[in-house]
Order: sequence, then C-alpha cells, then structure tokens
Amino acid sequence: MSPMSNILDRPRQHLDTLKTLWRSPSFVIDANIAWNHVIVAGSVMLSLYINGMEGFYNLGDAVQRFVSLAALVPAILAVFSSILINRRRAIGRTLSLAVNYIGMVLSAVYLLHLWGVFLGIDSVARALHAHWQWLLGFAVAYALFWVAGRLREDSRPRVLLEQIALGVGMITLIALLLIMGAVQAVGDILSTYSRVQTWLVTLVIVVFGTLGYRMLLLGEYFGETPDQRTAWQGWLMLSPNAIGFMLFFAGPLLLSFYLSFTDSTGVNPPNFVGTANYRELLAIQVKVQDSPEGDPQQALDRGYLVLETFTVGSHRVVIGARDTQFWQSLRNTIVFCLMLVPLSIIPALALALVLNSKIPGMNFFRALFFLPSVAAVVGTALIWRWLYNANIGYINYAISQVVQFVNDSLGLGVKDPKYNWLTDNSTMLISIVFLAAWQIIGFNTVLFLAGLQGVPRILYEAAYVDGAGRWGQFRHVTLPMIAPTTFFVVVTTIITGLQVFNEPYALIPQRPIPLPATTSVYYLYRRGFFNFEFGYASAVAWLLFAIIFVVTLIQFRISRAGAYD
Amino acid sequence: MQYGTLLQRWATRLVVYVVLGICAFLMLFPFTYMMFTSLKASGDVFRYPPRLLPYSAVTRQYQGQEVPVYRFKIDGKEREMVLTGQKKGFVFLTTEEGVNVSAPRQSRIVAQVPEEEATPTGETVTVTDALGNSADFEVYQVTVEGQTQRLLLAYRSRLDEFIDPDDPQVVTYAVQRTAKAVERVDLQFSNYDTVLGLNLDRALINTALVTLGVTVGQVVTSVFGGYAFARIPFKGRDTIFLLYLGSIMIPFMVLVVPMYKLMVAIGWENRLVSLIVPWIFTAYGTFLMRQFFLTIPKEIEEAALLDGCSRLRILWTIFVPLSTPAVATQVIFTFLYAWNSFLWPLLIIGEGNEPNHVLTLSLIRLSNIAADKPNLVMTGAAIAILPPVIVFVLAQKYFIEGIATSGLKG
Repeated sequence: MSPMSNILDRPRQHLDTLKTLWRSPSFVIDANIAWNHVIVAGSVMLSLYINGMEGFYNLGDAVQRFVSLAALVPAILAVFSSILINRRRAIGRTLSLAVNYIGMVLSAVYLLHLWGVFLGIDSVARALHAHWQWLLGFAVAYALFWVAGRLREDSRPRVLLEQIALGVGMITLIALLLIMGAVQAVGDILSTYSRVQTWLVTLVIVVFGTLGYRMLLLGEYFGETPDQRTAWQGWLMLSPNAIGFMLFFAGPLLLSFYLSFTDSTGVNPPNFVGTANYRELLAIQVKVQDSPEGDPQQALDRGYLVLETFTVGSHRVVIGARDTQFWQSLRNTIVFCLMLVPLSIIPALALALVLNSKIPGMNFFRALFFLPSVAAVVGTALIWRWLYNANIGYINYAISQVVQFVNDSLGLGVKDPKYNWLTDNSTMLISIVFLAAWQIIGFNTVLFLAGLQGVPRILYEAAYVDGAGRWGQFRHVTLPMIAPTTFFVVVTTIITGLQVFNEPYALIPQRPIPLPATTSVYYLYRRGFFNFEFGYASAVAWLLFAIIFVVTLIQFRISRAGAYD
Repeated sequence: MQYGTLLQRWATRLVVYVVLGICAFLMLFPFTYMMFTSLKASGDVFRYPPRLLPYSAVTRQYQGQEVPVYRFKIDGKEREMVLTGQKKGFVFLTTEEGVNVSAPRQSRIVAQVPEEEATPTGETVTVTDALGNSADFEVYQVTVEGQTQRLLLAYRSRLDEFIDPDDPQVVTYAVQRTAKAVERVDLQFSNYDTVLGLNLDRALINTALVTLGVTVGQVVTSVFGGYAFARIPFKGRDTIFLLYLGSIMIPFMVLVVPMYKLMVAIGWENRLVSLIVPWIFTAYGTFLMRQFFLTIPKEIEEAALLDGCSRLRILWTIFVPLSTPAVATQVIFTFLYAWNSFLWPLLIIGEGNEPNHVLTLSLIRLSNIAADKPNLVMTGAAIAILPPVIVFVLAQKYFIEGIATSGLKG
C-alpha cells in the first residue's frame, strides 16, 4: 500500500463513518430530539413575543392571549414527540413528522413573504400591463395547437405544427419573463439575504425538511403498519387544503363569532359586551294605543323607533324596534326572496318543459338562456340601470308602447305610468328583483331539466293510456315526480336571495343605497365598512346565517324524508 | 295518417321554435342593447324613442368645412342639403277657425311666409274660444299661389336656411333642431379604446392574473384533497369531510369582517394577493373532485399500488388524466367565480385604489365617472362580460353537466 493512498483513505473513512452515522436511526432520533428543543424554544419565544405586542392589530387582549397560547402548541407537540420517539413509539414518529411538516410549510410561506413574492404579484400585474402585447404570443401558440389538432393524427405537418406552437409558447414565455424583469426579480430576492432573518428562515426550512425526511424513512424501524402509512399519506394529500382551511376559514369563523359579542370598531380594540349587539338588533316592542290618532312614538319606550303601525278596531298597534333599519332591511330581503321565487322559478319550469322535448336545437337554446347567469352581476346590473332609465330606457318605452296600443285599440284612457324605477322608493326593490330573476332563470332551468330527465317515460305512457291529456300528464306525473327538484330549486333560490348584495349595489346609483332598497347584506356592509362597526356587523352576519341555517335545515329534513318515500 | 303526424310534428316544432325564439330575444335583449350601445357615439345615446343601432350624422364638404347633411323633400324630390348659417324671419299665419287662442303656436298653420312677403294690414281681430278666452290677432295680407288672402298672425319665428350644395339655387327654410338629419349606421369602435384607457386595461390584466391564480390554485388543492377524501382511508377522515361539507353552508358574509382584519394584519389589504391566496382553498372543489374520484374503479389503483407505485404517481398518471371532465368543470366554475367576484375586491381593494382594480371595481367606478355616457358604461360592461361568455360558449358542455350533477351555484 502506497503512502499516497493511505493519506486519501483516511478522510474517506471518516466520510463513510459520517454517512453511516447520518443514516443510523438513533442519530436521526437524537437529531430530531435536539431540534425539538429548538422548536420548543422558538415556540415559547414566539408566544412571549405575541403576548408582548402593542395593540395587536386592534384585535383586543382576548384574541392576543388566544393566539399567544396557540403559538405554544408546537412546543407541546415537540415535547411529546421527543418523549415518545425516545421510547421508540410509532405515535412519536407521527407527531414528529407532523411538527416538521407543518413547520416546514409555515416557514416556507414566511420565506416567500420575506422574498416579497406575495406583494410582488402587484408588480407582475404592472409589468404585464406594460407589455401586454407579448400575451398575444400565447394566443398564437394556442391557435397553432388548435389548427394542429384538426390535422390527421401523427401526420408530419401536425407534429411539425405542434412543435412550432410549443416553440412559440416557450419563446413568448421566456421573452415575457425577461421583459417583465425576471432577472431583476431574482436579484431582488437574493438581496433579501442581506438580512439575517432570511438566512435564518431558509436554514430552518432546510432543517425541518431534512429531519422530517430522515424520520420519514424510519417507518420500518418504528414498526409502521400499512394503515399508519396510508394515514400519513392521506394527511399529506389533504394538508394544502387543511392548512388553508384553518387559516382562511376556521380561524376567521371563530374570530367572527367572538367579534359579534364585542364592540369592535375601526379604532377601538374589541371589548366583550356579551349579547348586547344581538339584543340591540333583535329588540322589538309591541304596544297598543287606545286611539289611532296621535304620535305613535309616544307609545314606545325610550330608544325604540316606530317600525310599523296598524289599526285594529279603535286601537292602534305600534311595533317599535331599536334598530329599525335592520328590521327594514330584513323585511326587504324577505320580500325580495318572496318575489324572486315565483318570478324565477315559474318561467324556469316553463322553459325547462319546452326544452325537454326531443326536438333538435334544444341544447343551443339552453345555452342561450344560461348566458345571463355567467355574466358578471356588476356588468348586467349596469346594463339594466340604463334599461330602467326613466326617460330613455327601453323598459319605460315598452310600457309606453303597450299603453298606447291599449288606448288606441280599446279606446281607453290609461295613463302612461313613466316609472322612475331606480329612484322611486316604491319601485326600487322590484327593479332589483327583476334583474335577479333574469339572472337566475337560466340556472334554475338547467336544474329543472336535470330533474325532468329523471322522470321515467313509462309513467307518461301509463298516464296517456289512462286518458290523461297534456295538462293531466303535467299535473299528475311531472309535478309530483320533480317535486324534489322544485324544492331544491326553491331553497337554493331563497338562500341566494338572502345573500343578495351585488345586484342592489350596482343597480341603484345613490350612495348610500336608500333604505327601501337596502338588503341585509348591504346593511351589514354599511355598518361594517362605512361606519366600521365590526362587532355589530358580525352580529348582523351571524343573525343572517342563523336564518339561512334554518332554511337549509328544513331543506335537509324534508329532502331526507322524501328520500325514504 | 303518416302524413298527418309528420305535419303535426313540424307544426309543433315550429311553435316551439317561435316560442323559444321570443323568449331568447327577451332574455338576451340586455346583451343586445349592451353591444349596440357600446358602439354608439356619445351624441347618439339620449334619444327618445330609443333605437338600437348606432348611427352617426353624414357630413359633407361645404365652403371648406365638414357640415352635417339634412334631408328635405322639395317639389317631390329628395334633396340632401346643408345649413348656410343664415336665418330668416317667417310669419306663421292661421285662420279665425284654426287659431288656438290660449296657445297660438299650436294653431293650425295655413301659410308660412317670409316676413317681407307678408304685409300687415294694421287691423286686429279679437277671437274668443269656447272656453271664453280671448286674444287679439294681427291681420296680414299675403299672396299664396296667386291668390291674395287675409290671414291672422299666429306667431313669428326665425328659420334656418338650408342649401343644396349641388344645386345652389335650391334653398329652403326649416328649424334645424327638427330637420331630418341624414344618418348612417356607424360603429364607434373607438369607445373600446377610450374605456380601456380609463383604467379598464389595467383592471383586465389584474382580473386575468387573479383568475388564473385562483383557478390553478383551486384545482391543485382540490385534486389533492379530493383524492385523499375519496381514496385514502385514515382515521378521522369522514369527520373532516363532514366539517368540509358543513363549511359550504356558511355564507361568505360571516367571514367578511375577520378576513378583512386578517388581511390588514398581514399587510395584504389593497394588494392583489388578497384576491388570490385566501381563495385557493375550496371545500366545493374538493367535494366535486372527491365525487368524481369515487367513480374511478378501485382495481386500477390497487394494481398500481401492488406494483409499488407511489400515491403521488397514481394521482398524477391515473386519476388526473381520467378526470378531465371534472377538472374542466371546476376550472370553468372557478374561472367564472373569480372573474365575476365583487364583494371581496370591493372591501379589500376599494373603489379608490385604481392600479389594483379588478374589472368589476373599475366598472363601478366607470359608471360613476361616465354617469352621463351610457355608451362608455356599456363598453365597460361588454369588456367585463364577454370573456366569461366566450369561455362558457366554448365549454358549456362541462358547465351544464356540472350544475346538473351537483347543483353548484355559479
């Protein structure tokens, strides 16, 4: 053996021992336990940091304490995982995997934040706007692909054309990236490494990733069963959704519920006020006055305003509420739904019955009727705003024509009403209903068509044999058979109607929208984002949700009951 | 018999087509109105009775200037004439029977004569109508078609002079406002330029970017989540699935306030990212994908698993290619949802922050700044509405099947 090889051999031996050590389960476990200590320390520090924050985004002490406690969860998980993997328990490995994985994902999100990727989307939009012509390159590529798709399969021109299309697309993409400043963007990202924070977070991700991966490979060592293996695979697949669900659904939902019991505003942190918001919203008072004359306000307690009065015999019943606008908006919303249901469902059913015939071209018409449902409500509402125009709008013009025709042909003196649809208190709401009904008819038609296609033909034949005419068939076969569909359509229409916001916002030009056209969600918007009464607005939201929940529950119950008929 | 039923069948078809045609016309009229109005000139929008087609005035050269052309019928011949800019005083004469005492301008005019051709006689006549109103009217003497007549002066007015530039002897007088201008159909495509220049170009790019981000994100998370829910059994899965289903029921307005606060807390308010990232996690899409994955035979997957295929590989090489219809359905739904969304952008971006507007926001703003220009508002509406309509037309098969099977709300 030459001295030369001896010199080279020694480091190689060291390297080999290191590799063996690195792959040995006990080292991976020890490293994970050590890393868990870091996690505990980091988690406690984060918790203390959150606890000591000034103001805490105006969310109040309770939320701050909650979040700071939640920041301790990783510490607890890490402690348990350390203890359990030390005892070589499979559950400890699962815990460790979870901690490492979630830690890696959250740090990666934080790294992207440090890199400025999230806020950088604005710059991407700006650059795309400046160089939008390049986007046509993609259109050209797509067109070439489309043409290629028409050619015979595997023919030379087709392959060639596809390659050209791919080339055009790639060149466009690269050119676009260069022009938009991709190089500079990479430079910007690299320059964030002048901060220690960025290095730290990158390091943390690497450690989380490596340790997690090593732990993952120790399945056999920990005696992992196939079921356990499947389980973590399932969680892994679900994780993007589950993490997003926690951050953007479950968390806000809890916060919303909490806020509805506070007096949170744009300036003040929330103070817990119990059910005060709900009491204010729901407070209602019914009083009877002896005579129908006089000020109805007199009958009510302080803080209550007159909502409605009606006369019964020689007495007058006065209904008062603390928040009359809420009740008024709720009433508008309910009236809206009550008008929307027949106006959107009867035409939809009629159209579906016609479209269900076996005549060619029905799919074409079905698509036509569906068009209003795919267009942006804001856009269609603006169209309708001009159709409703009192002076030059087509709706008043059509009414004038009809009135004139009736007057001329029947010799009547009917007055042309010349409605001020969108400014007159009495027509605002119905204007919104027409727009919404128009928008939803096509959608309901498709639902009805699906229901109608489920009616067995044999029933019609049986009815025909029994001497039922068209109406009889409709009355005794179609209607009962599609009752579940009808019910579903009614309920979904009501649920959509209860949440109506875009239609009034875009259709009615005045700001704020006058009370007769104020729907519940618009009221929520006004209290929450005009007056910045976040707590109160949350309470409005939960009350509305309660109503929707009841409607859904009824639907659920009835459709369940129907299923066992 | 055969003949009769055939005839009957065709008659039924005809009736169905006519009925559906009328319904389709009514349903699509707002869009027709939008398209035509978006191509109108600003001067052409405030007309009564309204008309659909965009027109613009025909002009021609006259004394070195482009001037509008008006149509007159003189001595049975149609002539296209232009304004000379001159005016001439006219007297409008009526008879004692035709005079309207309380509103002389509404009298029955029997002669309309230049002032110099009518001579006042100096006399006046007092006319009293059935209601007992009475007024004095000057008596004029005019020669009409060789006959000299004594008529009452209803009113005087100055009329605009029109000339036929091809035949300068022919001159006529009329009120310009009521003269029949010559018009032709003229599409003002420049409206689209104008409106795109009013921030809608930026909004279009933003909307496309946001829609792309949301759609891609939703499909990715839904495919993973749907696969886990459909095919990977693990403890607690069904409970989580129920939670997911329940979350569909919760309306967005419940989340509005805390989501807004959350965005403010992490510094995402007014930023496009707030329109993308919170929306790429969807219970609906996950549910849709799960339902589809359940229909794929288990045997294929089990064989692949026995061969040592990883879950990710199975998902990518077996499930994703097989579920093109479901993915297409979800892509279209998400596209429409993201493209048309309004409440959340309104809250988080606001009407004022123009560079980060999406189309719906810019459209509302356009409707405020162009409140008296319906043609521009309709142009904006067309820009916002056409892309989803095109996507729908191209992919309506997936779309309508998607609704019919899941009852999804668009």
